[in-house]
Amino acid sequence: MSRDRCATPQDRTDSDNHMASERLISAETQMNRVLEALREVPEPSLSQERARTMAKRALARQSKPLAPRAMLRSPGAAMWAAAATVLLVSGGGWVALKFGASERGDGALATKASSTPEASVVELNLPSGDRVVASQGSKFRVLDTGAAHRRIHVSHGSVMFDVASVEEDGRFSVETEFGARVRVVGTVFGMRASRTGFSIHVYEGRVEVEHESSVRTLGAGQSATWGQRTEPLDADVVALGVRAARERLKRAKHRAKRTQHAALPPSPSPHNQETTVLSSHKPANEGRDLALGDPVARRARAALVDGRFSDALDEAKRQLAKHPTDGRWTLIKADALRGMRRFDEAAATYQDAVHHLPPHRGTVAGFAAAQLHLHQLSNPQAALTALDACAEDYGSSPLEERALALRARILERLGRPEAFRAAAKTYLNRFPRGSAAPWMRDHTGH
Amino acid sequence: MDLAGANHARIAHMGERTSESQSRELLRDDPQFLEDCLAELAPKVHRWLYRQLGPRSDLEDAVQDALTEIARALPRFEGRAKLSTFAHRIVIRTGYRYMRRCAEPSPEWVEPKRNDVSPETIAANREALRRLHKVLERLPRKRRMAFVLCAIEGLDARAAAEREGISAARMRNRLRHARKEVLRRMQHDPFFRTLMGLPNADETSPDQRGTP
Repeated sequence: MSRDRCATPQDRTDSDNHMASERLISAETQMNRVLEALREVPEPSLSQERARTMAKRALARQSKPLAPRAMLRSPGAAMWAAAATVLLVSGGGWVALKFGASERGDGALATKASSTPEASVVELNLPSGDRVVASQGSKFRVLDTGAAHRRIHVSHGSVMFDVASVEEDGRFSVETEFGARVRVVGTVFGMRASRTGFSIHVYEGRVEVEHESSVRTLGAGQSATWGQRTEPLDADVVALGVRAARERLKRAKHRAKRTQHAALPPSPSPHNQETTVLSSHKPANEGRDLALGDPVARRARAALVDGRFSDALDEAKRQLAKHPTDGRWTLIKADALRGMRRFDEAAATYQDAVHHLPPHRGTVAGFAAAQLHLHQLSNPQAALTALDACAEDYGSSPLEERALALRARILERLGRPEAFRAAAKTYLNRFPRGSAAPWMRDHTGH
Repeated sequence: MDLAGANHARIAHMGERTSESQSRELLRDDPQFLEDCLAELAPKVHRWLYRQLGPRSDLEDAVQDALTEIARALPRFEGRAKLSTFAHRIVIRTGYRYMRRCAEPSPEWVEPKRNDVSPETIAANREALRRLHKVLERLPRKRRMAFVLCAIEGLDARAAAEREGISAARMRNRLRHARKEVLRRMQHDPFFRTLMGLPNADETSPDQRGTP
């Protein structure tokens, strides 16, 4: 029997593939040959004298302290803004900051604390308005900086976050090497992370920490540790939060004398707070949350986080029927209304909450009301009223910078140039490197 | 042996087990030793950056920047790697920074006269290098670095990955993509087509062109 037969389409395809792969191999070989030849071509080189001069110059420059800007250099950092503390990241990009000794050759980011004490803490303002303060030796990545979703991964070290308001349906989350995830709704907190554990301290607002299917909510002034006990937060990083907390406490005491509706005790200083060491699985001090002391409130908050706004609203209404002046439930009701995009009701409820909350929480409610009036309801006059309702409490609060910026924007929108210039001047004097400073300078012509 | 000679020997062995602790102390305490280290490294740094960035006007700035960063990092050098490997990592970081910047091409470097190579070969090599750097400039930075480290420096993927601080698999992946793209661009360049022994477009016969 003859073995000859007509070539089938399959045969032709195999043959074509074989020829294509042969052509590719041949081209690769040719390319290697060309590269091999080019490797032999002499390259320009430095003379010994020039090398010595450059070495001397490098040594002379080495003794100068690194500016924070130089410390930010990294493969993904060139697009970051010119100001030393201003860091701009395009959405989806990442950057790794690594300060301190490194055998991995991250010399561009290295600094010595002893010679550059001013660089032991670096403050970064993300385009979303969040402020990140990292201590020497910290390493974190900004994974996402979208307006709605911000995501940061902390490998190790002390980092403090001052989180700008998160949009509806948005979130700000921090992940750690240890596997914990922190969800935030606008707060100030510091954390130290490592591979084997992590600790967190909340200065203002509230965070939810998720680790191995357990979720724990921490309120202002609370600390907690998961896994192995880590070193305490870096002193330089803590100093910023502690200073603000002490001043808030002083103001809270002052305000408490005048306010009869204070539903919650003022936030204690972080130094006086008990730090609870938790097992890696189950939080130990459940139920001691100052902000959400009872399980019903925790469930309502969880419903908000899950997006079940109507459930949270129903529960808040039930509780407010029993305790009409409870600021916590007023706040939850406002959050739920905002989640349901009933902005006018939410703004009114936030404004109502200001009267039932202690100053450090009242500022948050007033600020949220002002934001809603300005951005969602296009009512700058109402925004100004809401913001001014607790204006005296913004001073030295973590919201101070954002409140001043918001006030300037409101005045600009209202078409009151003199007042706007005065507000912008106040902002620039107080926060010359704040995230809104370039905008202020543009609009005031400074 | 004079001081410079002794330092040279120490630097050569830096990172190897023989004298690492002594060298580390010297790096911390002896500015002269540190300067000798930097002077020894400078030509290597120049060569690495030349390969990464190509001939450009700010190449010397890049070298100076890299040396300054190395000077800052050297006192913390722990001897777990060779000194040159340690420096190479810093140079890679510096190279990345400079890849982002636009720079004028530098005036053409004229290599010293060699009797064993014809002027035509020298000119062809020079042109090939210029075109290769043009090709590399159009690659994404990470692929470009992978190509430089593996295809030009001749490092294997594991060593290159270790210098970049990534996994070997990722480095191999970047290299594969980089080689594919470089090859594609070279095949579209008549000059490289000639060097690679491929027929140019105007030389191909109609049946080779695959006309429908």
